[in-house]
Amino acid sequence: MTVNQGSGGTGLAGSLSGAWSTGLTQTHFRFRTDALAVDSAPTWGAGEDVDYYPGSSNFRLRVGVANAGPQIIATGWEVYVSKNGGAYQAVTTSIANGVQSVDAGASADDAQVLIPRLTPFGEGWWLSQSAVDLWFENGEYFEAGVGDNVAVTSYLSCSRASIGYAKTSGGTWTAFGNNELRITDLGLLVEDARTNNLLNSDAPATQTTASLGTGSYTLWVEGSGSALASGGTATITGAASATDGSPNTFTVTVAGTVLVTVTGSLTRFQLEDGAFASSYIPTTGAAATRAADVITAAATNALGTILRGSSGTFVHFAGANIFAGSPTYVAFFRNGGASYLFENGNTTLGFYDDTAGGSPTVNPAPAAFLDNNIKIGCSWDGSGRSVSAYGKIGTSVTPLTAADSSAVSFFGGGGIPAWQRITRAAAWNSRLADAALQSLTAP
Amino acid sequence: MEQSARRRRAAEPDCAVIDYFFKWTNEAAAKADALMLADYLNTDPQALKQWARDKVLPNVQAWRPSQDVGGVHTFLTGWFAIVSLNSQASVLLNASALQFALDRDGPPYVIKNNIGGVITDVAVSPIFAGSHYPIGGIN
Repeated sequence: MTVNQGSGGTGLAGSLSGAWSTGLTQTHFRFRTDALAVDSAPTWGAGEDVDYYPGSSNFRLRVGVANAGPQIIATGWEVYVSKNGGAYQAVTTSIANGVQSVDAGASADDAQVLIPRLTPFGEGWWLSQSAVDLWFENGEYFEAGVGDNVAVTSYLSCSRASIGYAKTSGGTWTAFGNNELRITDLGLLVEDARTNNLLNSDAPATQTTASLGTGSYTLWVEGSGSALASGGTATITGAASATDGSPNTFTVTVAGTVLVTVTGSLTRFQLEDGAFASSYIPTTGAAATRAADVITAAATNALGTILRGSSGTFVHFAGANIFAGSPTYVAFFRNGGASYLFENGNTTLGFYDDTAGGSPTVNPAPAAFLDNNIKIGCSWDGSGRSVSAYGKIGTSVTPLTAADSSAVSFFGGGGIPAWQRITRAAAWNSRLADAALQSLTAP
Repeated sequence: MEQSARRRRAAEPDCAVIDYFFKWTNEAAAKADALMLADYLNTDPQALKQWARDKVLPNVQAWRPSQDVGGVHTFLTGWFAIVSLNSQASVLLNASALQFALDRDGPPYVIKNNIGGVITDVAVSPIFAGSHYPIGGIN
């Protein structure tokens, strides 16, 4: 039996090349073939997509679209198969989100490899008709009329007077300089200020902190060992052993020093002020503070112009638990704070305007604000405004106050702490129909 | 086009960062000044709601390492804060509460010094992550 894995444009490389040309990556889709046999433990990814089972009376492709944005999910897709060196033939006309099987017909000739090919229809990876689409987790940025390879810093800037770190999907901490947007393949990380009260964070050793004020603190560690907080001169409650992946949040009820005892081997530890763990803050000989991220769109760039306009639409997708600091301004924040998209109590999303009033709200199930695929959006024009989350819509006939000339703040602002990992943000320069906004924010 | 070419990470210029070290009698005095210096310290030009935590580090403790006893610090009286900007702001450099201003990317580190030779015997905590001043007591 000969299994020819093909070459050039008809082999695996050709298949992937086709994918790249559409702006898609393997994080968007994955597929494999099988010969009517149940594979109890498929290993997704490159390689399995060129399996071939000769002599089968039928073979079946299993095709999945995973982690795809709304544009990809909503786009019509076809799977093409080339059998026995013949031309590609469509074997399906649509692929939904998730994994499904596609019968591809018989093939008795084992001289060729079958190459599934995914072909997207539509404009491209960016959300349909969007004017600006910032797909942080994929590192792809689009502006209509400019291109799909623009720099994110053409639209957003960051003010942060310290270095900062953000994790990649592989679990690696990536360092970012002062005022640098913290973007990894998990998205754009936006956090409030935090202080690591432990010295020499990368060489954990038992130590006593400086005096800590009353409030909540979170101790987290990396490594095989553990760390335990106990009161020095402070009185604390809720302390328990912190291990890798299991931080401990305790409360200082009487201000004073705290003893942190390290057991076993740790590679990193952090004791920060707050009721949940945030990103890594390196320290050496002094406690160190990661400054807050303040994200801004200049008033005159393409994004700022849209969001300051008299009509527009904005959607915002984010990863898990972005509202840990609830309530928070989730996006966006124009007129120096008069108009904003606001979340409160993990239950309500509102598109407020302090001056105009008449603010619409929407109350999706609490899970909408806590799952790993948060989608929220808003739209506005002279006839009113809408807000949407989890496919639900709230509307008002009261238009926003006309924008002033100030820059547009994002993902926090006005002194409200921001805790978000934004995977994508996009804007349209007109108000989309409510049904379209609902579709964009549907789970 | 390959993904590596498509992926763009923010490319902010690595500007020099100036840290302004302030001392007020107490936080109320600091907030009074903050209203005057709203563009630098404040999030609201009308009334102080919050410190601008992207560039202000409030509640800093300061001490003189030469006065430590058994590793225990004696903290200096007053209410301290660090303000960090990527530029020299004359309104801050000339503020009466300014103790000194340092350039993180020195040498030279000292931009302005209103406390004389003691500057080599002052330590503060916390500091902004990534800052470092090899001029004596400054961490």
